[in-house]
Amino acid sequence: MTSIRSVLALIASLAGLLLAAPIVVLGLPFWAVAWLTKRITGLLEPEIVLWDQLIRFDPTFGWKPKANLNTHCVSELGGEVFHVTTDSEGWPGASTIDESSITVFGDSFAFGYGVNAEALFSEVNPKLLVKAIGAPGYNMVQEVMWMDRLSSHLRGKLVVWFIYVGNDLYENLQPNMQDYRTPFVRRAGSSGEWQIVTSHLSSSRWWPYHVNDKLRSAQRFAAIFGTSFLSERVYSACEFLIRKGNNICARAGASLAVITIPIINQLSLNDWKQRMSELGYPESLDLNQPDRKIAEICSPLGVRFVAGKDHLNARHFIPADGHWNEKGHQRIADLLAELHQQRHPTTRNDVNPELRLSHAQKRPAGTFQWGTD
Amino acid sequence: MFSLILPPARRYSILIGFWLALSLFAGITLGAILSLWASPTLMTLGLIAVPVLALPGLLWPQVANLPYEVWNKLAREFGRYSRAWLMAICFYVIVVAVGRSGSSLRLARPDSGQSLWVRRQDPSGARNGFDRVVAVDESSKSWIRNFLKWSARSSNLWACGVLPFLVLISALDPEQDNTVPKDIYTLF
Repeated sequence: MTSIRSVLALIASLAGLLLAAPIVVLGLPFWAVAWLTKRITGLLEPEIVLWDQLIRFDPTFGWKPKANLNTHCVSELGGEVFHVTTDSEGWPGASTIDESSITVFGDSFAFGYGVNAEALFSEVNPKLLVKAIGAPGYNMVQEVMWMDRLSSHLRGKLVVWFIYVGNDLYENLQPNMQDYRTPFVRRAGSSGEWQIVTSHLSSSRWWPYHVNDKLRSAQRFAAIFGTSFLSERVYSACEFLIRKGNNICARAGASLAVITIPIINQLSLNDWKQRMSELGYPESLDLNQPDRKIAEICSPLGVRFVAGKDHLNARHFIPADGHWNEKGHQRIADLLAELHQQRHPTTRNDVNPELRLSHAQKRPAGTFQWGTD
Repeated sequence: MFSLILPPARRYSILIGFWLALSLFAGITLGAILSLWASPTLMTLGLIAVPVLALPGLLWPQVANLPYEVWNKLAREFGRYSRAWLMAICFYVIVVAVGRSGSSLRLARPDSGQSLWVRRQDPSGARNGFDRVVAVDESSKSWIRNFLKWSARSSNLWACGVLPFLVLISALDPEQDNTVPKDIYTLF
């Protein structure tokens, strides 16, 4: 029966191929153009690595950028190929932390993901030396741990902490970032005090993660922009971390400022409503909640707070990817310069922060000025 | 087999590559048509047309945005209908023909009280269906090779007749290595 079946299949297959011939003929232009596009693009672009080849395992922090990188990278979601360089410690930018007046801690925004290394906010103002300490995928826990590790280098500096509201706040509570193990915070014991957990860190994959997980985007949004038990945990953990970062800076003789980084949909109320509607999320989600909550955390601690939403607009972002483009990095460089000048006024005009911040679209509600604390 | 869908990202380099590819294809096609209809020497006319057609895309890559979108939409639609056509060929031509030789499955209604449970023959467990077939040899990255190995090992040589159609269907798959998973967010 097997041989009869094989013969029948062969005959039917040949007949089927005749029927399929028009598909091959009609499809040829599509295949040819797709193949040629890929080949020509390969010739036009430098060799590209994906983000996971920019980092290496670190037993304390989960991962950190590789040292002395000089490569090109591209986001899977969009944007142009960008040049990535790191120093001997693995951080972006040419200056050292000791040379810098401002040290920035953050995630991929601080790392400069999405733009050429030369266009990074720390590199575009030669008059102001800024050192960025950041890596793709970092949460606030890793950032505060780096603050602690580098505290002996922070004396007299302005420390700026970038908090990306899109995922940092939520991922502070997560033991993994995709399939990488990451430090996180949890409440411990009967006192319920927050503590940083690193005991699960290793180079092995975080096994429960699956690439098809939707990264809990609905839960993330509800926790960051809504009111729930999870939301309370998110902002309580955030307060713990900002308080810890402020204590580290105070002990080191540095002053801390927090800049929140909005998601692109937060920049316009119409865009926000449309996006929430597309995702099927409730209208009750408040796009101003992260800035309001973080401002409330910073205020009693005397930490300077700047709502990035009030200084950025959609033109500062790479649309499909969501990171800053070159204009965005330039805007952040200007903002850092303004913060620095407010802290160290050199001319009469510089004393007036209202004047210096007049470039912004409007003054953020929760912004604290130098000298008010 | 290579996918017919263009990458979703529209970087300048991809737009330039697309425009050059389209110009090259259009020039060669034009030359071939002219040489067949008029004179073989007119093939050079088509080749001369290539740089002329390519120039706008090289100077202003963004002009390729709309054609890129339209081309990809056409490719997706073509892929959708072609896959349906190929599936129909498999089901209504090959499977019907093979079915004439009978089935090793018991398809008749069982006698009263008789169970249709069949003892499991394949202990290789975790995978099911097509995944089990193409994962015969984990060390091999070629699913085609694994498929052939499976058909030989399991005395299902007739399945080789379906293979060209499976290859074509995979090449028409819009999800194949060119699309970003939905709802993913980039690394921040």
